[in-house]
Amino acid sequence: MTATDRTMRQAITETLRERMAADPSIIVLGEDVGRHGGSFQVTAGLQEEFGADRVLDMPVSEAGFIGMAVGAAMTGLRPVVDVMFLDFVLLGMDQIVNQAAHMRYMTGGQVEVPVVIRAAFGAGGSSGAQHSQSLHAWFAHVPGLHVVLPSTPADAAGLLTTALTQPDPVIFLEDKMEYGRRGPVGSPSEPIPFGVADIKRRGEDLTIVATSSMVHVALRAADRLAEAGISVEVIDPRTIAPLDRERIADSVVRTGRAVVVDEGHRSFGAGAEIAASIAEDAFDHLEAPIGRLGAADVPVPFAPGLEAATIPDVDAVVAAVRSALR
Amino acid sequence: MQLYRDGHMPGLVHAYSGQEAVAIGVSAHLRKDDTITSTHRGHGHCIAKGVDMTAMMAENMGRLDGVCAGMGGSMHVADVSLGILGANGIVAGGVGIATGSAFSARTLGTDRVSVCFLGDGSMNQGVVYETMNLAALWQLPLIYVCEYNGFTEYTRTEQLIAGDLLARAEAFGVGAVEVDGMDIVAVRDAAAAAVARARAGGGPSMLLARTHRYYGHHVAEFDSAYREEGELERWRAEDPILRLASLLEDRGLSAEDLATIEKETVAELDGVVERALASPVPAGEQVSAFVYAGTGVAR
Amino acid sequence: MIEVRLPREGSTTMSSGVVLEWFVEEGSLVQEGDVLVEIETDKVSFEVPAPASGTVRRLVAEAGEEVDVGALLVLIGDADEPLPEPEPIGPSAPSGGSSSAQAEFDHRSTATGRADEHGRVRAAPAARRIARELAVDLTMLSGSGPEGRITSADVRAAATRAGGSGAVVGGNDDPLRGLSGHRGVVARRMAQASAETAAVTLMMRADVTRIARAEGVSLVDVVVHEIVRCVSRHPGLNASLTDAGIVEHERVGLGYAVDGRRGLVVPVIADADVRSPSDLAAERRRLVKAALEGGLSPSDLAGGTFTVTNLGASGIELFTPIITPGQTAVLGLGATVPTVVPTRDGQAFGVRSLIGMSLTFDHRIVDGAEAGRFLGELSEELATWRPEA
Repeated sequence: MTATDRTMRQAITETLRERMAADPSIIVLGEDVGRHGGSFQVTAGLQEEFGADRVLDMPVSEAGFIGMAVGAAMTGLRPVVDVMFLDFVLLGMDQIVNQAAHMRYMTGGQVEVPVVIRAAFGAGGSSGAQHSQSLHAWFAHVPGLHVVLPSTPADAAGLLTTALTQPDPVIFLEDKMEYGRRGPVGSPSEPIPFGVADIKRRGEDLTIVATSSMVHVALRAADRLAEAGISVEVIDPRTIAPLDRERIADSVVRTGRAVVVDEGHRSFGAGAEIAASIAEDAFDHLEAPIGRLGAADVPVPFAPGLEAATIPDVDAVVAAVRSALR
Repeated sequence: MQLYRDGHMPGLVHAYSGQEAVAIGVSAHLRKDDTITSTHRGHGHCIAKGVDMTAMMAENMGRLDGVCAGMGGSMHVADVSLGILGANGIVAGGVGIATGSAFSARTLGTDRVSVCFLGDGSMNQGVVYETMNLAALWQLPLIYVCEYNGFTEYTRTEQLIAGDLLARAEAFGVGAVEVDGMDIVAVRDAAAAAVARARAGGGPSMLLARTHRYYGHHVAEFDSAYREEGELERWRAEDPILRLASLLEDRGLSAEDLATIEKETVAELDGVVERALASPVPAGEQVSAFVYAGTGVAR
Repeated sequence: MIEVRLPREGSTTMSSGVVLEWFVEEGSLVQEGDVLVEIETDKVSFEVPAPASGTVRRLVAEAGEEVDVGALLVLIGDADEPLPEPEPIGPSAPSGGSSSAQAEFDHRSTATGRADEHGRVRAAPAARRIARELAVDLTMLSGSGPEGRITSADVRAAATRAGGSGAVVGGNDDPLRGLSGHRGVVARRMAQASAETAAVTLMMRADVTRIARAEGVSLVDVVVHEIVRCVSRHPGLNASLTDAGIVEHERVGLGYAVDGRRGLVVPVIADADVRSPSDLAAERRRLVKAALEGGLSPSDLAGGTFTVTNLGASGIELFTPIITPGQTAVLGLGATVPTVVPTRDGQAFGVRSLIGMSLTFDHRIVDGAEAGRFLGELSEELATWRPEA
């Protein structure tokens, strides 16, 4: 298997292309996905290749087309819904939660709902409070959904492949500031199972668990800490539903200390869940309280300096690690 | 209803009684592979589509032999093998699903149709019009059947609807027809046109059927003063089943045959109740079944 | 503000001490030289004087607390001098993203690692687990972590200090006496010796009738003198087992166990083998007095190579004394008992004064034959003793 250098965007586009070629039941629908290729250009070229019957431009009616995708998934298709900004998915929450997530359970196992909802999320581009949220914890809180947060092009390709070949509803989240990140991607890309965390960097003194773009913040912090002789392990859960509690706990048992970094709001977020899991699974090995970094508990502000101040950065991670090492 | 009062049915039940003509008239034209989505008031739709009544009764009682193994209850009765994509506890919750079913029918190149039963209370939900827009854009084989029983829970719908329901559908290019929802034959005839059109690729349409629900919103209703005096009796006088009986008599059915049908139906229902009551409750382990179909691994 | 810290006193091995008693309170006026506090180590106790005059502003270490050398004990300054800020708990709001991104959380703080009002000691979960595994009593430790949290390193260090045996974890409703300070030292020493040595005890009764009958002669002093002479003739019993091997000491440092003011203590008569009998006796008396009054210095306790322990006053005749760690043998003296014995020709009976002698030796270092020869020789020397001219 060869590995080629790809951006996150390219990895996703090519995975979609690969899977659509292999599986005629996959369709893509969303706003501006067809002719325009998607507002982040992730579906560029797909309508040309697969036709307007498989790549459809939707009117602005998230409840309607997400609901339609759910019904289509229940009756033989594999829809990929492209939600331009994760914030817009809120308009379709009934369809995702009350319908898609619950349908198999309520019907006693009669249906599968293989719908993949892809959305761009996260702050950093001064897009304002309604275009910058990181709400993945909301979906992880709903039984019946899978929530996927790739941090590298390779992870994106592998996880999307799995999403498109497994039977349950998936929320697939792409950090809008990371579409240009480069990394090697195997060809063909191997599917990565959900619920398997990846150790992005090995270390001994402390474990950082980080999601999506925070993985790279953590790795930069780890470099800086290494200069000071502190060896930090960085684990990327890759999916938060299901969450690989075991591998995370194994790491903290080894290091004795943990800091969790997530871009959702600090309170009631994915970081809180991971920290609680660590406390349950590795309690007798903790040398210090578990550090928890998240976005400030405020809506995302517009002014760039204010926006940056709300998101965990390298300085914050370094400080949290040092605090846990006291 | 008696079973509910005797405590055999947990939760709430929304009786369909009085609206039978609509379910029967529409379903007369549906194949097994055609799909329906239903409302929280869905027993009639499911029976008309051919659901096993014992299984549905057991589901209402939360028993293991329920059509959803006791996991959904009255408001979520479904039998996907018969095209029943579920009663739904969210008002207009089935409309997206029905649209999706129509969409996949078209994409997969079949001629099956998708019927979406809706109450008049759902006709202000935004998603209804979002799907009308989508269905009309792609000429999807979708039939909206609005059972206008005049009440949105305990409030008269006419106080809640601005403008004209038929005109709303027409505005999207969805042909809409009003019909007497207490007359099985009238409904049947109107549905024939809508289903044929959809099946032939002629796109979506809507039936607006005026009807009444005898037992109120649900079984535990405490505010029955919202109906006027005499209102229930007026509708009962139009009862669809009695009208059908009358029609059949005119066509030569004898009083004895009618009595036999009635007797056999009652006996059948007695059997349904007996078997449903005998069905066991689900084991505790079942609580975590059915959450996911897979294990997060590529197939 | 003057910081008074725990000095290293009297011993190069001192690493910590227990605060026995404060003689001042917060707000007390002190002159330079006034005694502030008494500290106890595993060897001695000593007082810490005020280095300057002033007002006692804050007692940092608590009575009963074990503190490391260099740890802050007390702050002395002017009455209205502001107390220094406590050491900052965590990083101040870091730059960039996190003034709102990380909230510091509110530790329910106890000043030290001691148990709080809920009876809980501040210790990391990992430290608790290791303390369970190593049988270390958390209430005995002060923590080096933030807010006095006991860390795993603190626990391991405590276990190492205890020589691997550790302190016993309490837990029932019986009244507890702490295993701090002196008791803890004794406990650890005894446990260590019991665990490490191959102890065998030989017992004999020696005939000290002549000594007992001699006028103006102290039986104990004569016995001790004879012991010293015998030990110097049996260097195998005057040895230590080290990593390098068995070391036979040139001089005899005779430890004489005393039930001192705070319990068992073993002052050492240095170079006992080159002292005259009167010198030996004088030194022994001095040490016993000092032990009873609590006035032993660290040098009084160092250099033992052979120990004598005397339970005769209680009427005990024979027993199984425990070897002092680092030594090869200990001789336990029992009561001197008038005993009916046959005369040498075996034809009649007489009454002789017999003293019980119990020699415990470490069979790793010396064999029973050697030990037996020593004891037999000592017995003979005592039986045939004559007063010096």
